[in-house]
Amino acid sequence: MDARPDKTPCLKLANVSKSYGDATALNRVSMTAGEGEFVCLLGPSGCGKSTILRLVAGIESCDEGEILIEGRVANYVRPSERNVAMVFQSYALYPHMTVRDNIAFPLTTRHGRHFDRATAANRVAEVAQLVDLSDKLDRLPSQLSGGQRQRVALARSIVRHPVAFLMDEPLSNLDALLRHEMRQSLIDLHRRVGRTTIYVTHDQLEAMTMANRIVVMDHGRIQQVGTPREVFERPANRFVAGFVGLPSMNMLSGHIKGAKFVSLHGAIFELPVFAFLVQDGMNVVLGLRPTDIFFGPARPGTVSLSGSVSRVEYGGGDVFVDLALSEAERLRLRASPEKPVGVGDRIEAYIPLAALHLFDAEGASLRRPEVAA
Amino acid sequence: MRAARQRLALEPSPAARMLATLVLAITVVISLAPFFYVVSTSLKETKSLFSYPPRWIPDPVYLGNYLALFEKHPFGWWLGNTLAISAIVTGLKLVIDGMAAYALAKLDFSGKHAIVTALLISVAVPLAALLIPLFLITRSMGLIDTRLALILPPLANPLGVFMIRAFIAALPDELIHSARMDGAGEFEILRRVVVPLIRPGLVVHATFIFATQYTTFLWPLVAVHDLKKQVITVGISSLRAIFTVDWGLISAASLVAAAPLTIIFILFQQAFFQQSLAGALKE
Repeated sequence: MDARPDKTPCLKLANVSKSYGDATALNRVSMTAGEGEFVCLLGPSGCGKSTILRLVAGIESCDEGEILIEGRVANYVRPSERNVAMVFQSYALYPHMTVRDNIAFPLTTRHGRHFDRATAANRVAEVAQLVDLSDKLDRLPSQLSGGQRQRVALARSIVRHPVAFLMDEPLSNLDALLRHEMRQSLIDLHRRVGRTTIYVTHDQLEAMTMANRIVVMDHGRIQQVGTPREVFERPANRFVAGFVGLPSMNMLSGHIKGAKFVSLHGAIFELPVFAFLVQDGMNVVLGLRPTDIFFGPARPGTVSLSGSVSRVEYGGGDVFVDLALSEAERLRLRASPEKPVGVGDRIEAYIPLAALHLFDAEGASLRRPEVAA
Repeated sequence: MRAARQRLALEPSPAARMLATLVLAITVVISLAPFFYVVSTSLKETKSLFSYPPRWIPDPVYLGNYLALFEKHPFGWWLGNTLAISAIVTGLKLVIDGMAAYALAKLDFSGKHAIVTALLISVAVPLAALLIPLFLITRSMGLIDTRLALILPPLANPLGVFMIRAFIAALPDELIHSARMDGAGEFEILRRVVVPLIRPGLVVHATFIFATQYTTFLWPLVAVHDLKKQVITVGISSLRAIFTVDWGLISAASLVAAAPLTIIFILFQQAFFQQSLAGALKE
């Protein structure tokens, strides 16, 4: 599965596979990243997203397939000659070198030695200003905060003027508040520098807020490629539907009977069957996002839900409630802090028909492609 | 009041402190007594060594033993040879072991496992078992009775490779990958990234090699016959005559021989402590 922009993509993987012994890390993966695009690789730990970065960087070699950088096959090109820069999760700063020397390192190696001292110094100063580190050039990494170290790692990547940046969960070592700030900084930086960026994360909020396109992965395969809106509103399968969106999508197993969905424990939902490719008697899974379920009686164009509250979770601005449809079936929905509910309360809720998701027994979405969400 | 009680609870009692001081004092006396005895012996004439009762503080102080070392024996040559050979072997081994350790720790190549196994096996073979073949090889190269015979064979000892490999393996792989992506070759990575980060380990390794070379006895005894090319360990053993033993002279020789090594250990003790605690605490 891949998306193809009109012109030659900056990065392209074509049927790339990689195994470590008996474990398959990547299974015939194909994807592209266009000029200046910010592409997020999103998925759980061990799904192969960091492996893709390492293959593109040249740190490892693929077992099958081709990696193309600016249209040229890069499988046999040394890492230093691929003209891509990588920001590691641990930043990989040289602890014995100052910030200045860390940033200047790519310009002083065998590959970068064609820069004269003055040019190299100017480049370092320019990049240090870009990441707001001009006053910290003489410090050692141990004297910097986590966010500052991350900016040094970014600066060291930028100073080489690569064709693409590869970022392997660069925010994962930061606390929540700093992560939010750095997310904004990265978005600004990408806008200013304008280079193709492949960004690996398991945090869907990062992916949704930063990416032009998201590549959702699981077990070494691409599950879906699309914009954040596409991936959220039209998930291609159960995995994407369950992984993207917090809290996770509610899933009810059942079958189709006429124009209705009947759950395993008897809950019945009207379905806009024109929107789905279904047959009578088909085993399916109905998906309902907690954020699409609202308190109150059903109205035209919605499906009614009712049950008793089995759990209430207070999260500050959000309150999440578990609604028991039956003994074995529960739905999670968002409640308003202004209208508190208690465990045991019987409540009515509704969900718009257009917000329903349906998946077949194998997990593939049954939504008709021509019908918008 | 409460703070004082808490402080007292955490500190040892006076009796415990007295006992600890006593034990430590006895240990110090036991450790240093032989050393002081050797110093005392080196400053006495041989005829007064066996006087009764024994005198710890020499009276008069006799410096003839020290003068005799340099005037009647080639002690200066022994000391110079030993220092030079130890320094050269240390320098060369740091380079060779460092490169080998980096390759084994951070590079992937066919036969790596076989090489490591072969090196491990060679460490297990004692020098005594290698003495004859080593002598035959050295003789066939025309190096018997030369200083090169004392420099070249120790370079092949792989023990240091494993020691340095452990230090290098502890470095994050990302540092190496990052340097490669930035255009550095493997020698450049070793020189600019790895060596500065394992410096304390290299100091410990260098001290260990120097001390081993300084105190080696068996191979120099076999490989070198010319006294002027000999090392200090063999030289001191030659001070012992067939029928008599000049303990004053030997004591003086031992003290002078021990001085350089003692100075080195004192200078680099910080690196020893740093390396021994490395990894003990979470960073």
